[in-house]
Formats: sequence, structure tokens, C-alpha cells
Amino acid sequence: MGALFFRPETEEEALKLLSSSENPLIINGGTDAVLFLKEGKIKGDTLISIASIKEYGNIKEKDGWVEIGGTVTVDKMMSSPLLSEFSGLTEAMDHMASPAIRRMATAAGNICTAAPAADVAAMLYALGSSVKLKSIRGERIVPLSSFYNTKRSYSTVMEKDEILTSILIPSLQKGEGTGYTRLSRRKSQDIAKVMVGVRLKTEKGLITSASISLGAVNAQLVHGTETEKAIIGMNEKEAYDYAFTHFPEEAQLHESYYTEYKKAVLPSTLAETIKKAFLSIKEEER
Amino acid sequence: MIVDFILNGKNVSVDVEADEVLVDTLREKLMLTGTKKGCGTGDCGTCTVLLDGEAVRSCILLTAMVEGRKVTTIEGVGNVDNLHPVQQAFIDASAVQCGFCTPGMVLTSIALLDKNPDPTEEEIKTALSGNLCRCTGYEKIVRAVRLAAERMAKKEA
Repeated sequence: MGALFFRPETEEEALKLLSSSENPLIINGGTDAVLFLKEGKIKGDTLISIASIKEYGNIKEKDGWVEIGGTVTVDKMMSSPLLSEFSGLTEAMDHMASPAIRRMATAAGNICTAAPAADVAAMLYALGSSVKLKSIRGERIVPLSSFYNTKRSYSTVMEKDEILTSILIPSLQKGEGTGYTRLSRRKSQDIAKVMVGVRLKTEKGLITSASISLGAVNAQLVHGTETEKAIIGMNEKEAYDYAFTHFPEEAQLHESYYTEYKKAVLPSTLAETIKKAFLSIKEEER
Repeated sequence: MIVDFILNGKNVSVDVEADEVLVDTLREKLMLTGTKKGCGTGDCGTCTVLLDGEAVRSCILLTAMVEGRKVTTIEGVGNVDNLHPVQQAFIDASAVQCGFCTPGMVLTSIALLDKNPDPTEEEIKTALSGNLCRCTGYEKIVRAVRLAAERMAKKEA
């Protein structure tokens, strides 16, 4: 017997289906899931589209968080005024795949696929985002920094009966800036060789906290933990110079065909992204 | 499973597998072969169709997902006696060589001009950045879209 397809209209219906199916597969935008299904990389005999669940389709800001619903497409995110202040996120979305894919793909799906070079996920990671996971057993909130299996690509802490219902980004505060850089061979439709996302908090021009994501360097996204600590208290030039001259060993760069290239470009890419984050801070807040 | 949707302005009802993708349904069950299957992975753009007016990839879109929605293929745009201005512009600008990418290019261009009737060259290139062409080098395709935009604006006026 072939796969079955369901399109539940409520969350309750979707969660019941997930819990009662042996091999469920959530179809959201489908740009990864359908492809992997056709290629035999993932199995699913019960395909569950969550596209009709209305409460997953919104972006809102409340209590210091911007919440992006699980079925919101990247294209819709790009035109949302609630996200436009996160310039790093705008740049990451702009780099993702192609316009047609962005109309179908979701940030939630980009996170769940857990590819080591996922643009939107990488920037959301740097922004300090968390995800809401819901099942028939209840709801939990997991920071992205704890979401991935750091030893294996395409592997997360999600259970097969869970839905990623929304993504929570801490709202941008005074003195904060974000930046994103990715290096790839082509301008469009290419997997990144190096990705860096940065979120900085500053006061009177000095960094008070930093969040750095490094992508396409390891099996999974990693925090630039050592660089994050080192640049506290630095101004833009100091932080730039530091990043430019210190290779982020915390990246634990994987051996690959591109290792020497990545070793050569990672420091300067990190430095440039820190600079972008500073530049994105409102002038009156610098 | 039966999926009902609106295809090129007409109601259709088709029996599909749950994991069947739209490009296969269009080409093999509905015999509309204007939509091409180039890469099958969503990368080349030759499978582009319009879904509720937006250009999407039919090779990674389950047919089941288009229930109740409007799908437009290249067959639904213009006809031999009355080409769509974008189609005419592609001919006049010599923007077609082998023609394999052309349905996808035309549909993506139509979707662009519907939203942005006066796109800059950069905006055209961005909109078409997901449609690959091995023949033309893209210059004439971009010119064709600009030509179509100018003609459509004149007609409106």
C-alpha cells in the first residue's frame, strides 16, 4: 500500500495523526521533505501537511519576542516589517536558494532539516532564537543552541510526533545590531562554503554581548564561543582586528575538499560580519 | 486519492498517489508536457508553474498540496494565434534557443510583471535567478522581459 496524505485543519487533528502513525512525515513547504522522500533519504507512509493550520501562519511581536509561525514562508518573512530590523536575517533570507524556493520554503523547515549549511537557520541561531515543539504529550521550548545533534548533520532533538509550531526571536533592543555573510561559488542557488551570523549588543560603542554562529564548517551549526567572549568590551575596530587575526578554533573545522579555503577565509568573513553588525546599529544608538 | 484543482482556468479532478509530485501529474496524467522536468530537485526552474499566480517548483510540490488552488502552466498562457506579450517579446528579442528553459522563464516573468510592471534590470535578474539557461547567456532573456514590460505598459496606457 502506498503512502497516505492528510491535510488536518487544526493542530489537535495534526498531533493526533502524528502520535497514531508509525512513520509520519510532516510536509510544510516541502522543498526539502518532498525531495528527500523522492530520493529515498527519508521514509514516510503518512504524509501530513500542516499548511491549513491557520494559527501557524502568522508573525507577531509580544513580550519581547518576535514569533514566526511554523508555516510562514521565507518569502513572507522577507516582507514582514517585524523582521526588517534584523538586517542579518534579511541578508540570510536573500541568499537562500532562489525566489521560487523561498515562496515555498519555511524557516521552520530550514531548521528541522538541520543541514550544516542552512542560511536562515544559521542566522536564527546567531539571533539567539528558540523553537516551540508541540506533541500530544505537551509543549516544550528549545533554544536553537540545544536543538541540533552536534555530531551529525540532519539530526535534531525533535521527536517524530512533534511539530515545530513557531520560532521565537528575542526582539532587537537598543544598541543591538546583526550581520550575516556567506561565501559560495555562485550568487544564487549554491550551498555556502562558509557562513557567519552575528548578533551584537553594544553600549556607547563597546560590545556588551555577542552571539556568533558559524555554519558549513562542521557537521552542524556552532557558536563562535571563544570569539564571543574575547570581543566583549571591544569597539568596532578592535573586534574587527581581533576576528581578522584569530582563527575561531571553536569552529572545529571538518576535513573536506575545502578545508584550506575555509581556514583562509573564515577569520576575514567573521571580521566583516562583525563590521556589518556594527553598521546595522541605529546611528543614534551607537 | 482524488485531487480537485483549477488548471489553466478549468476545474480538473485527478487520481494521484500521496507522494506524487505535480510535474509528473501534469506531464503523465494530464498530458501537458510544456512543463519540463530538468533536474527534479527544484534547482533548474524548468518545472516552474504558477500557483495562485506565484512561480513555484512543480517537481518538489506534491499534487495533493494544490487541492482547491489555481495552477497555471505554459499551456494556459496565450495561444498560437494570440501570444501573451511576454511570449511575443521572447520571440522578438531572440531570447529562445533550444526552448527547454523557456516555459519556466516565461511563467516566472509573467508572475514578476503582474506584481512589478516596471522592473529594473536588477529586479528582473533577481526574479529569474532560479531559472537556469544553458543556451542564451541570459542577456536576451532580460531584454525580452524589459521589452514585454514596456509593451504592456503602453497597452495599459
